[in-house]
Amino acid sequence: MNSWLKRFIVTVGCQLLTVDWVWACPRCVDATPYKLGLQLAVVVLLPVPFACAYWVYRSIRDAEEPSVPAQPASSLTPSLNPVQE
Amino acid sequence: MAAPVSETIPGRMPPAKLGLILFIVAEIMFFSGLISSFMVFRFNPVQWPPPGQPRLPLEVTSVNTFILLLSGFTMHRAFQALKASQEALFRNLLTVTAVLGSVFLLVQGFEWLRLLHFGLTLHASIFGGFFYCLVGTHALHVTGGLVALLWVLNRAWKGAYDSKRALGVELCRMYWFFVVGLWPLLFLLVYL
Repeated sequence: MNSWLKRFIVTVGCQLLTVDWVWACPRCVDATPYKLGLQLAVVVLLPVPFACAYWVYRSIRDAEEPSVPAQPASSLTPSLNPVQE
Repeated sequence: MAAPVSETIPGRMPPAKLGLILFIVAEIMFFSGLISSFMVFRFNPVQWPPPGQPRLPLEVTSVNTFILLLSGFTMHRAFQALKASQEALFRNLLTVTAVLGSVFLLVQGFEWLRLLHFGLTLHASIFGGFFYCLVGTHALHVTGGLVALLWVLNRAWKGAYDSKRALGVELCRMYWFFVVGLWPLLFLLVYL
């Protein structure tokens, strides 16, 4: 690994490990009177993007059905169908 | 007169429908953000609503909620009537939907005026701020839906839709269902 890349990763790691919010955040949440509201908001909000993404996926999947149905193997030309040969 | 041509390619989702779905998803995320921030303040040990604030009109808004839900039902029946080639019934039900949506907005506006008169303003407290932000944003969306509905209604009375050409009505119905479906959630959170 290049030395500059090592230095970069170590620097970013040190920055992340020493920033205050990483260590202070759980204590702040415990101390605030809005703890219950924060927890409820997270619980309510968290499934919403997943539900939305699933809705988009299902809508596209249901709409994009193949217009021409797949041909059964028996309808293939004799030269291409090993069973009939 | 040319024969009616279907607006959609079989086996393909119309781009307008996909666009509207993505738009509604974005709107859902937008309202989720508003609702979550409201919940942070709503579910705290401090008294809610804050003391000294006027009481929200629960009875009138309950009736208004019923009116909006009824408009969702008439919209659904209108679309069914169009698909069953009952154009006259479709137009009548769509008109009823527009009237019910207008009644909802008018009652909301009237209640807002009363609340402003009683001192619940945007700057009175965080309660007032959240109330007008959540309910106002929804009312703005209902207004947008109503404009689209009136446009579709105008085209419907000109005979622009039938069972094969119903994309405009379908999109309008999707958006209307979104604003109708969102309201009971806001009503439960804000008013109860």
